[in-house]
Amino acid sequence: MALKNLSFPIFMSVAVLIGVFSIKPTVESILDKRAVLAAKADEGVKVDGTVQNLDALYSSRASLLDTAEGKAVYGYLPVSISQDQVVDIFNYYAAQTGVTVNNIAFTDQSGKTSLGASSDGASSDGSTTEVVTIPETPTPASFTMTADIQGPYEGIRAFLAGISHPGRSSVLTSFSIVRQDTTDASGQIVTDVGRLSGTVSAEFFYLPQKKYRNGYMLSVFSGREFNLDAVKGFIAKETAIPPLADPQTVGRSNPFVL
Amino acid sequence: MNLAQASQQQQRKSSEGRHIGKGLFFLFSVLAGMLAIWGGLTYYESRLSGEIDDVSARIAEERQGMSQDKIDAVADFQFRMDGIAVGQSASADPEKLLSSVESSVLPGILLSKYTFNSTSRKIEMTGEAESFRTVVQQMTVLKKLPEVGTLSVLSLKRDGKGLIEFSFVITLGQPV
Repeated sequence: MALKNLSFPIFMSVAVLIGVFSIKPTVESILDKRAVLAAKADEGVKVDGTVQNLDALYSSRASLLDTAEGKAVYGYLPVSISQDQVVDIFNYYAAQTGVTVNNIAFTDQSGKTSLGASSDGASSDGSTTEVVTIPETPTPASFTMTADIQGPYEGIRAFLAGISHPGRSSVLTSFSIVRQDTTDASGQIVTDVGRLSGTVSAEFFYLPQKKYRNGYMLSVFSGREFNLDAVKGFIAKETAIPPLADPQTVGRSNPFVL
Repeated sequence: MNLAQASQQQQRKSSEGRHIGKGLFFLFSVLAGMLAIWGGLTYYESRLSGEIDDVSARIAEERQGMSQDKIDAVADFQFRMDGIAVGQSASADPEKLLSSVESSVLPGILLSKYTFNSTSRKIEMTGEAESFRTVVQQMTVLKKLPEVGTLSVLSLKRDGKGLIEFSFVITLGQPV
């Protein structure tokens, strides 16, 4: 009779134990697996799109590289640091505006994250339950170029306007325009309002090529062509700087004698 | 104990036995139901695992046929184009900044220094004015410019020529 009285609590305990230690974990596992399956299905759709469009996009890119759009894309964010290009830009606008560029200094800013966060996506180890992530926009490296300049106000103004649209990813970080007051022989302060001095500092960005482990997840692979609207708008706004001509003579037997 | 009492006692015992039998049957049913639910869920879970394995295998197979170099090249090109779309408005326009000064400078004001810093979004203007009144008028005009957030005076002093040397700091309020 005592066993019969205990049967109800024993059965209820067993039921609760089954519920807590078997059914609940199974339900949680099912919810996780449903989420993984949905993500995998999404990945599968993206992989299908990439398989279908990869060759077309690759060919499109190859043909664009010789066009103004393709050159603008790689000119805007060069693969390498290309400091020579920036010096040429400064020199070009100085020559155009009557400004003299005196000292130029470079500061390496690599590692700063001025244009957004960076990640090439979580690596895929082949696990079937792993949900791959879409690569985020990579962070460009950068350097800062600071130059001391001299010239008339109109020239400095035009120079600043020019270098703020250099056809390359950059930020004009600071500039100054200072009147040059000198003292004459009699000790009087003479103001040369026609010739000002100043300092201009700009950060220039570049993006070395890298590997994108989950690159096939990017939305670009859902179409067969690139959207060039932003590039066309950029080309319309930027002033094209003539490419630097190659020197006429190269090489000398003694580099220490002219 | 008479015959009637004995009969009642036997009926009571029989009734209790039926109650216990129904109770046990109910409890076994509940337990069996829970075990059945668990079994069903476990089967569904294994089916989901199978589906995930199938999709993963198909993805892995398709990925093997893709050229990683081509993917990198296309992704690289797209990221550079994205940079163009995002980065064009990042820099301040010095033409607009200087145009604002040109359009607002008063007669009797002569600038000696103008500096702009995009990080702090501050402009420092130093110069000479004919009088304190001119300085105040200049401040009033500058404060009305739409891009000016705040304007503060760093220093005001009379120089040897009787002019007022001033220094302002303008914090920009909206992008230029």
